[in-house]
Amino acid sequence: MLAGMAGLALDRAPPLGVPLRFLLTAPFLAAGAGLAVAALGPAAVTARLAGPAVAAAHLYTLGFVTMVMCGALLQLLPVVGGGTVPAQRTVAAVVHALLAVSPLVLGAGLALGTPAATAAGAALAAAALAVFCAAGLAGVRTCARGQDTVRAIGLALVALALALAFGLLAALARARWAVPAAPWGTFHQGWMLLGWVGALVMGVAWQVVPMFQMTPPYPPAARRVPLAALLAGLVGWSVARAAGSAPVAAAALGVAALALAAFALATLALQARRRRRLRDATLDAWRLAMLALLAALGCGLVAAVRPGAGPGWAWAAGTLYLAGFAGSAITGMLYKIVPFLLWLHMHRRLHPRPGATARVPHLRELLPEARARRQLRLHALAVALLALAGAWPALARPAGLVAAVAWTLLGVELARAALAARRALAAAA
Amino acid sequence: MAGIGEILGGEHRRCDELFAAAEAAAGAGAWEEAAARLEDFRAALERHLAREEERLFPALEAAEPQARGPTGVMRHEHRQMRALVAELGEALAARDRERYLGAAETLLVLMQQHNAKEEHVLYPMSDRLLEPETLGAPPGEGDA
Repeated sequence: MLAGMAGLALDRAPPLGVPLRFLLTAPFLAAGAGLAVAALGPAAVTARLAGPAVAAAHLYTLGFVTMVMCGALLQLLPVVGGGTVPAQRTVAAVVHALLAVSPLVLGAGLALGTPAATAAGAALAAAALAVFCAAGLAGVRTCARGQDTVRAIGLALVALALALAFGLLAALARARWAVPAAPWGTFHQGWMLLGWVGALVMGVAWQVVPMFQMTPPYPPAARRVPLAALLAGLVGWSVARAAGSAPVAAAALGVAALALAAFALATLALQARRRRRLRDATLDAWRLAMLALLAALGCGLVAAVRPGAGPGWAWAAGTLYLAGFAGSAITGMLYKIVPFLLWLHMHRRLHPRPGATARVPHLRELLPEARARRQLRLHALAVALLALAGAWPALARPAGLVAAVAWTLLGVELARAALAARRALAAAA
Repeated sequence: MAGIGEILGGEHRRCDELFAAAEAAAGAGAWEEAAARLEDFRAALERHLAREEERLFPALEAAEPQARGPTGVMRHEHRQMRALVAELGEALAARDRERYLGAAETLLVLMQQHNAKEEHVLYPMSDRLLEPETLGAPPGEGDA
């Protein structure tokens, strides 16, 4: 492609199967993580960094969060920047298969303390993420220049690559290989959570919050300053931690946290000024996401300034961030993206030429709003119970069970929408 | 004079507002109000789509033949939007709230992702290759 013609792939949106396989599989892996927390019970909270709890965390972050984000990015690049991921069908098939299998193998290895399985799972996950980072960054390079969202996606992919490298070093250290001593696991968590998840949700929000809720756009400063501060905070924190300067590291981490808090507050303020007055599940899911993000940062602050406060605060911060913030934002997106992709697909099949008259069922016929709301209420309950388990670890078991049911229900609702689309196509054939 | 992206992006915002007003009225069961707002929206949308199809896209395709793929996609999505607006009219005539809100949700997502592609890709390209005069006089001025 000529450099001057970057960003013209509007007519190369991927076929349905490319993003859909990620979006339909992911909720069931999250449900698996919920079951793992339920099985562990209070130990999930009190032994947060022991193998079994780390296994559950990877089932969720790799199998759900990263799985959805990879699928959504394949769909989003043509829309936000007119770019496209090279060899997208092959990339999707390989990355999806590896992302579905690797958390199970890695999880089994970590939970059972089997170094060979841990190493195999880590290698499979590394392969998935390396392929996706390379393909994703190549896709970003085909986008039109100057879009803040594209910049955030690029940064998130770089953060993912770094997080992967730190994760591999952490895994090697766990397997007692001779790697230089450093807090690799901490770096891995920081870059994965704040960098990959934080920057990506931020960049996607700049697009979808004004789009779907008809809010005013994020002012340019409200986009660029938090993104730059998040990056600067993460780099500063990593360098200071490596150099052994705890106060500087804490201050830098504080800058990154403030950047995320500013993003959450800006989003809530914009939502309050939305021109589309109608409430829907996506609006509520994103509000929940922003409130959970603020709560996560608050719990994280307590955990950081009061090291004697016990593991509960860190647990609450982690679950509020992963299930409350990332999980709710993803859920809100899925309720819009999946029915729309199915509708586009049906339209392509039923209306191949202008003038075709077969009726295409609309989005709410595929996925009724009442069912989305029911699932979202259960999800909100799961988030609250998970966070409260930080204070009362005995709640971990019911919290994990409710989360497992909520994620299963999400997967079932999305699958029902896909089946409804298939039935409509069959009926029209 | 404002650039092409600014002018047509402003028309997107205006259509959004009219769409949201009609949807809110239909959601509240205020059908007379909804009918008036939907007509405003339909008229504003039609003026905007016609301006693109009759003025912008032909000029862009002449200036840059490679733009034909993207403009073809945009024209196709315009047809999809018109069909959904027609369905909104049918749902309104039947006072069918659920059908109205369902079609409106579909149109909203279609319209927003369509606008994003235009505003991020086609309009910046138009601003590089064309003059704002390409769009002609603002259509329907005085009747909006």
